[in-house]
Amino acid sequence: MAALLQVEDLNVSIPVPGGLARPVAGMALHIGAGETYALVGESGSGKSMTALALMRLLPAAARLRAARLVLQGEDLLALPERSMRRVRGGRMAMIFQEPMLALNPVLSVERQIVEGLALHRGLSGAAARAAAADLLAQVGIADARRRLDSYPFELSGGMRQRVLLAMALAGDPALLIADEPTTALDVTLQDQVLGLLRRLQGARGMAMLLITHDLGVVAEQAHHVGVMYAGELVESAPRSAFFAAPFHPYSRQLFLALPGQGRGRLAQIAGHIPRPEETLPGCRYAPRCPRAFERCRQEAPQWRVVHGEHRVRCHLAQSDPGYALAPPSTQAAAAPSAASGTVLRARGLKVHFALRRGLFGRRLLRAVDGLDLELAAGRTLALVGESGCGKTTVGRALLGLTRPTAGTVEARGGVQMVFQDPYASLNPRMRIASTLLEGMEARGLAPRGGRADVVAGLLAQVGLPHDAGERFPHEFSGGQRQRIAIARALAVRPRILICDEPTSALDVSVQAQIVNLLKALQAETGLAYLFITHNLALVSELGHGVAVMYLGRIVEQGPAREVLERPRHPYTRALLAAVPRLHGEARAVAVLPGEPPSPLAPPTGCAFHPRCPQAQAACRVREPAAVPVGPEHWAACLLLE
Amino acid sequence: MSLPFRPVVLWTDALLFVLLTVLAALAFWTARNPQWRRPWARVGQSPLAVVCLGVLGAYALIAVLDSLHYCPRLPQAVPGQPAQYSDTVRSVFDALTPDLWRVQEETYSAPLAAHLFVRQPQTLPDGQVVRVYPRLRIAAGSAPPGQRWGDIARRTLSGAAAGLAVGALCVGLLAWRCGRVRGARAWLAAAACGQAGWPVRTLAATLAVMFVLVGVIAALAPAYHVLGTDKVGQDVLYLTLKSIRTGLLIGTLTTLVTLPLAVLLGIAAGYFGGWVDDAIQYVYTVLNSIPAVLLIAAAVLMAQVYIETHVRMFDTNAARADFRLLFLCLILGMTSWTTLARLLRGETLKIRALEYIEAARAFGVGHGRILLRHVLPNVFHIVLISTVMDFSGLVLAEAVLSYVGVGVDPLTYSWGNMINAARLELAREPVVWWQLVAAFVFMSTLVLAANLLADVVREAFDPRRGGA
Repeated sequence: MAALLQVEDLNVSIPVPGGLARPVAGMALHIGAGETYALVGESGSGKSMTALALMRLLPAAARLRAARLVLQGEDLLALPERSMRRVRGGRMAMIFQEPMLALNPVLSVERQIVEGLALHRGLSGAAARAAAADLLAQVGIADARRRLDSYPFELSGGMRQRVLLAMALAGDPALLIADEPTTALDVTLQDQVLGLLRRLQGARGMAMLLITHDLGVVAEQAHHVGVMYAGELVESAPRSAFFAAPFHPYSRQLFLALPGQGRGRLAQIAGHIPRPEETLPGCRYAPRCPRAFERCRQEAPQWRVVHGEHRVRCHLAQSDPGYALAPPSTQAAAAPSAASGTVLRARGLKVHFALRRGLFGRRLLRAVDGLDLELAAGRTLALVGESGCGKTTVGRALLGLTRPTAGTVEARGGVQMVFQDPYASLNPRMRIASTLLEGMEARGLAPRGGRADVVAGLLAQVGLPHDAGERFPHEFSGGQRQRIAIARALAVRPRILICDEPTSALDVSVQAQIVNLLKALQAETGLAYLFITHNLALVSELGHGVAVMYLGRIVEQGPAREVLERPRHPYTRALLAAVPRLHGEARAVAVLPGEPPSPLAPPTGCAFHPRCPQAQAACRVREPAAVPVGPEHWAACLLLE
Repeated sequence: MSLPFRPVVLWTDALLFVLLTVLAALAFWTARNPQWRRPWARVGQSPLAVVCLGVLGAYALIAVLDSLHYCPRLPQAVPGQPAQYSDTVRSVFDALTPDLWRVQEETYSAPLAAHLFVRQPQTLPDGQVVRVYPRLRIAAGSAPPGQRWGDIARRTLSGAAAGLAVGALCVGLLAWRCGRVRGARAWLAAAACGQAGWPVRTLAATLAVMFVLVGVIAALAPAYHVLGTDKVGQDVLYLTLKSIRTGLLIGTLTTLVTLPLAVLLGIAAGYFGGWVDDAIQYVYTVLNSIPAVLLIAAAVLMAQVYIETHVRMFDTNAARADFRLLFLCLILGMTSWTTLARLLRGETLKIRALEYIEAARAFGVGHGRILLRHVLPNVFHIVLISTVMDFSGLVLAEAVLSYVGVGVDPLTYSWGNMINAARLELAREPVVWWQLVAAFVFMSTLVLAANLLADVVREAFDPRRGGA
């Protein structure tokens, strides 16, 4: 049977000053009806550009060339723009990463869905409204008729992604292109949306092109996997074959860079992805490949069959047939550093914000509501929770950026912070040296030795070249910027470092570098980290202890291994279950329905009871207290009392 | 021994020189700071910007020369008495261009004409009165009427040749200055092929055109009114050139009032938020809700009354006109800071939430230092762009306000006053067109150059283009 979508030798080129950029080169893929093809790669690999090229929605300057671009037997390249408009949304629809940006804020949900229904199915009036309500119900929105009149700002993040999905389904497409559909969502919501996608796909027999950087999502969702690197597809395989034995050295490095597999030091990929306008005679991955040999640098590899449908673009497939069987190398785990003495202690910490509402009305937002924390020197405490649970506010309160409403914070030694977004955390108009020294100058600490020595010392500590001090932030990549941010915090010799999602804006291989750096610094200087994250895999990689937060309170706390292996609170269990796994089958139903309630109106009793699968009558009235469930391990749940 | 002149420093002169000092300091600072030098270098590489800078430079030179004021010494009636100085205030520009103002005609004359534009009664030797087109005073003693065009052509050619010679000299000097490394000849050769790294050829062409224009005018001016004369017989070219100072002053001094207000209040409102923000927003919302023209009219009328009731404070006509000009700048500034302040408030709101500000606060850096080191440099491109763009708007505003009658003093030379006068001239038959055209051409050249430069500057500082 001919595949639904057939793409052969797809190329996108954009003229840039001083050459021709090729964000996509020689792309080939086939997707059958009802099949999911996952396109994996780091930022800059050309995944999104491929999706836009399929829709013929490339920027005006870009040129599209392909040997074959056929959807359901129709050549898309030959179609005039007018007919192409019917294909877009009709036979091929797209959903985007950022649900808030993809919805028009001034149109009601109904107007946005009906637009597609009118264009592609010719519906209008009451029929269109009924069809729109039906679509909303299909994507799992309760009370669909009422929601039709809502505006995007009235919807939560997960709801918006569902509305987007309903809009994409309006034209009854044969192919759905999902560009990082769950990257902006929390793990429990991701679980819900992925489950929904699987269900819809099964019911409609729809083909799906899933673009993602998350191997876990691929493992749960895909039938077939394609790995992209620097504009080229380097490996293509059925899911099971790919996850059993990834072949291409780049694919293997991606797996080794994943945190949370208990391998100790994470694999890092040296160097950086080549720019789209760089032309290389050989394999584009060769400059970074640990297995590269002479031929890789001179001759671009052709497709080779590894086994069956598993194909790869690598010279190793020919020269070293045994390579496929060699297991990925592992390294010994680092010894945990010794703990000694508490350096940070928070007691009964509360942060409430008064929100103005109307002229006189006031409402209290309880961002953090009674929180106890203890952090020992040389240890890492991971603070985990969904977005909006108050994690970041805790960090800001401990740092003194936000004044706590109640409670005490005692810190022995300075506290500093590493922020989430390395692009926003460095002043673009200040030299790196000035940025690094700012803290010392503000505190009146005289730099020992000259300024230059201090700067060079700090840069060496985070593994940056010594001449970086004279440069400006825009000359550095995201990972390097995050190193600079760490160096800036280290400048004032803090004993506690609060890391607020420091790797969530970075690619997985760069994340590995930062995680390794943080570990090395801890072993070297005995720093204590409060590591705020939503990524549970990082917790097992870095954390000695874990605190799980829900609606401004800690619901479970304990040693990392203990909590991850034997979670006691239903919420912790749900969080852990929602993480996509590399091996094993996908779940049929979402582990945790709904979304966290607003901290403006927290539920009575146990805050988690509306979503808790084990909730009982008592949970609605009584607030649970901390129950010890193991050594240094407690959980706040009535079921444990 | 007494000076042959008494220097006069008008208020606007003083402020103009303060402004020039500030600009020089800023230029010095920019040259030392690569972050700011880079975008400016990009501006310098654009041929369009070089032309605009050349034009603006010529205008600025005239304005500066016209701002060095003095009163000439009167011829001494009795030797040995202390020197007496005239009440007439002149400028260095006047001293350099005596041909343009020494000879005043009866009334209108067309550009390059030999006779007046209107018939005047003349008494013949036999006592008969006839109405004839009298010969212009300036043309007396020059070529007879029949040879006028030949004379004009000859003067034009010699003037152009002189201008070209001076232009070539300038390029030679430039080559000598820039070619010290590889030798002037090699540099010239590279520049001629467009390989000097910046648009030398464009600069050379601009200079050549300007010098030729100046040369031609200088050659023609002793015998002709190049752009004709106005109703009272003043040379229109002189009026137009004198108006440059007024236009430039309004454009720049107003900025001097606007900038501190806008930057200080805009950034404070955005950064501190809360009641500071509320208070500042109330102020500019109130200011914005009063029609600007009304406010300006009221203020200028008040200034007029003040001048009339304090005659002693203003000893010359020039001082009176200058006070009104200054007051106009002040009130224009008061009404126009709100736009920039609002822009800066918005940008600061955005920057305040960025993590590098948080990081600075986490180090305990004070508010003043954060504003100075983190906020101001990151909004400075907005200040720069909006200043350059506002400039042309202000020059035009002067013209409009003077036309309405609430602008500068009627005695001040300004394009607005010239256009106002042209209102009646256009109703005449035959039409007197040259005053309007002259004012229009000179004003448009300035505004166009400023606007084009603003575009280039905006583009060079646009962060999305890797600028600034």
